[in-house]
Amino acid sequence: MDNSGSAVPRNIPAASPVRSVLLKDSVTFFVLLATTIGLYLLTSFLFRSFEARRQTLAKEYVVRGQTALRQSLPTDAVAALRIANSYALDERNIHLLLAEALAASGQTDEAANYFLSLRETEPGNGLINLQLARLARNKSNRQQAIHYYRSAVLGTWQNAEQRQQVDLEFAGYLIESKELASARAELLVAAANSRETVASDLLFGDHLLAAQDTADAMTYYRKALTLDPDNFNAQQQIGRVLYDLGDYKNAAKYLHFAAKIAQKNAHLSPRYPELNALAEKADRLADLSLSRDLPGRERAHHILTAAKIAKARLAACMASSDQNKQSAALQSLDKAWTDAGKAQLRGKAIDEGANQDFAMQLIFDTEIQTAGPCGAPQGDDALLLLLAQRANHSAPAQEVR
Amino acid sequence: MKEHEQPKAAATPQMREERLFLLLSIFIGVISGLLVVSFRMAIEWSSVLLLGPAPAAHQVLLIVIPAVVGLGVSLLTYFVFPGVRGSGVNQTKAALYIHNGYISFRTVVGKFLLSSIAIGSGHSLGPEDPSLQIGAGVASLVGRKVKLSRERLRLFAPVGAAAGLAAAFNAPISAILFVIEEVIGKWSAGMLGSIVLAAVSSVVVARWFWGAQPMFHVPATTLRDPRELLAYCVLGVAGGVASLFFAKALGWLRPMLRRQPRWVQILQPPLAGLLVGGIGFFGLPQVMGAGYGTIDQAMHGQFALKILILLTIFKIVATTLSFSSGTPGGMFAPTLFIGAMLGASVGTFEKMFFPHLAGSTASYALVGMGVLFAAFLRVPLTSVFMVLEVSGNYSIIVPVILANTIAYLLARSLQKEPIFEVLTHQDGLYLPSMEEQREEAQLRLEDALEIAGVPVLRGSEWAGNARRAVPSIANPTDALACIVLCSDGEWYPVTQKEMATVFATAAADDNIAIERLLPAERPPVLFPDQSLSSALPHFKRWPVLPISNRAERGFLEGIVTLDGVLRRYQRSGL
Repeated sequence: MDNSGSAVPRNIPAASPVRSVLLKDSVTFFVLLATTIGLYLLTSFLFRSFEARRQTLAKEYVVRGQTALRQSLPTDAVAALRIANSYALDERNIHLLLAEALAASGQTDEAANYFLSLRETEPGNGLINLQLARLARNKSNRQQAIHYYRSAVLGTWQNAEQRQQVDLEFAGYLIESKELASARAELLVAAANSRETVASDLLFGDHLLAAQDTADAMTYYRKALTLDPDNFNAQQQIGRVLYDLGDYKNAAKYLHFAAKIAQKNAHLSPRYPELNALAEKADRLADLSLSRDLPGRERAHHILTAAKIAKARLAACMASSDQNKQSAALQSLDKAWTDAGKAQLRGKAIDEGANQDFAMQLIFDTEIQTAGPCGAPQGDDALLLLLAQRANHSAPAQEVR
Repeated sequence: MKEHEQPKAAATPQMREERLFLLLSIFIGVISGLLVVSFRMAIEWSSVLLLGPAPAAHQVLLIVIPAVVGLGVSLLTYFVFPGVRGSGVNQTKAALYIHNGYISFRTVVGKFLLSSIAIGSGHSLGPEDPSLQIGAGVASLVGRKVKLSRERLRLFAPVGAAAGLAAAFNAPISAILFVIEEVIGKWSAGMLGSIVLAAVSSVVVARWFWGAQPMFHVPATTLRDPRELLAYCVLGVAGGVASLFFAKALGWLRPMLRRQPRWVQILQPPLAGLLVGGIGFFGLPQVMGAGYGTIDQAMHGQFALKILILLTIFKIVATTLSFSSGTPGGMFAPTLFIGAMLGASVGTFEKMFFPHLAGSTASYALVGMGVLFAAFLRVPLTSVFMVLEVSGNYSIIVPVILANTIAYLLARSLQKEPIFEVLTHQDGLYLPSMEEQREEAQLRLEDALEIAGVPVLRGSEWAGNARRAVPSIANPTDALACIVLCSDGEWYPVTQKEMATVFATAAADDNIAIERLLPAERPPVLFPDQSLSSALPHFKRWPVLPISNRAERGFLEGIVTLDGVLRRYQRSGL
């Protein structure tokens, strides 16, 4: 027992101070908990209201930005979207719009930075990669452009049409960069992966043609034609390709068909005269064709017809020019014609292949040689010159195709 | 019974406090986080309400509002909330070192209200330092209500400070490091536990509301060419010089304004608001407020070199005006702003003239932020982690460390006194400088080590042999007679007096091991690399302390004596 005279006996409630401390601490804990919960509820309420207002402001400025973008006012769009961004800092759509507006306003570096940040969190996003590819393309950074285009092609898209558009854009860029083999490969892969429609077949046909892949282009045009036999574009494109390839007979068939469609359709009718003229030209070229693929008799007939035209052209050319000024080349041609009349062109001699080849070369030489001193030929002479140029591989690029 | 009750009764309050301390740290973190979220909301609301949703140059509001709000804030500061002047960092340090952790509730309320209105109205100040003080204030308030001991209460303020800063930056590591680097200067395991708990709790709360994403979104940076590091070195040098200008400007203007009569001092915040608003009105509204949006824009390479340089210069001017006028608000955000603009300037310059060397502008802006943070606030470690945390970008680590170190060393050589110290001295306070403390060379036991100079005996030696080895002494003193290596591997320094007692006891039988005649008590085991001060508490009982080898306990490195330790301290001038 304690003899100090204290009012509280020391040995009875030894645990009472501990209990008191525990009680006190429990009360403290609950008061703190209640305060924290109260503060949390208050903060949450204020935060919700605050966020709602920020969202409203963000939306308002996004709409302004989009409107400005639609009106081709990228600078105004940038200003509005920046404000929108400040009210919705982590809104990816705003970042994307802002980046697009920046790219449109020519602020390439800043736009690229925004797109790169967006790409960090979503590396497989097709649109972001496409935008980066376009920016790299604008900066003439070929390597990066191809890298991002490829990522865009392999990236995620909302639908197959969007992916197809990117495929075509990428192929277009490769063609522009003279990487024709890569362009063809991309186009063929893309075409194989896309849903087959007349429109897509035509698109791929056009792009393959641009990539100088005539054979595959024809395949896709023909596929289009299978799906829609009366398709104007397919008909006229096949006709033009065959014309360029020198298959005038078949070209004329398709071109006449296309011209007929154009004649019947009001919206295509403006194209009728040009198509009809080309078809007529193809017809005449088919008649004048000196190709070795023609049957012997038919070729001989064509050669005799062409020889008359060429000789007339030479005679006219020599008559129009001064005797003294006539070039040795023309005189030599004249002599060659005289000699040929006595040998290769005489009687049945023309039925022989070697004589036909000789005569064909003489016709072509005549048209080429006379084109210089006697001016551009007209009519059949012009067509013969075209055949001559094609035969000598000296035709213009578009004609060679 | 009573013998057992005594230590239990003494241990209970201490144990209670230790447990409470950790639990309260979580509460402090949560409450601070909630308050900081509200504080940031208040700033943004004020900005929208006062300056409109889209403030831009040539709007008259930009001039009028900061001036009018400045007057209101000034009057409230002088007549209602006198403790809210300044950033909050030094006030928290003062609470820790002078006021036993006391920060009044009124100061917390005042800091919250006045800082939010001032920053929202466009004064060039930031919300982080006030958040730090609000956190510290909450901790102080809770500590007082719970009736913590004075020692605990004092330590509680930095815990709250870490929580406040962590929530404001959404960066727990930086906040913890800042509080250790700048506020308390040292740490113990218990203290660190509380700071970490509070910081993490507050960040969890902040992220609950704001989301977990970092403050700035920048693309990953790759060092394309090692020579690019040269560009970052240039940035480090530029940061060191810029921080000098900033510190000099504050060091010159602030005391000058504080010397003015009271009525002039009341007019200073509105005047500062007018001038800062003027800068905004005439073309640079970006310098107004905290400026995080502008930092983001700079990181995305929006500004041309000329604008970046102008923003750097005018932000220094605007912040110097706002802060020196006594308007409550912090310096962290303006420091980051200036650093980002400076970094973007250097990056843009490099890109223009050395395109093959320069990386993205964003990386330069990011490194620039760290550079100025390291050089101006003199917190090199915090600056590195701060950059990583606010960007969530680890790829920038090498340039950040390099540039920050250069800037920090340059700033130290150009301006001896760190800015927080300059400001405390201006306020007439002399708080400990954490930078100096870090630099202090610590003396170790090896610095006072002496050769024993007495026989060294094995504990198993017969007393008779010991008698022959140790010369007899006529008048024994506390001087060392010999050192005995006990069988447990510990050393026992035997004084002459003890030796005399041992010999007297062993007079009857010389064939007894000397170790058995020595007391069971052993001196503390000390090693040469331990702090010199660690020996001091033991000299009362042991006039000589043996120093053991860490690898081989039976190997004696030497001894230390009280005289030797004191002589070493006197020689070092510490």
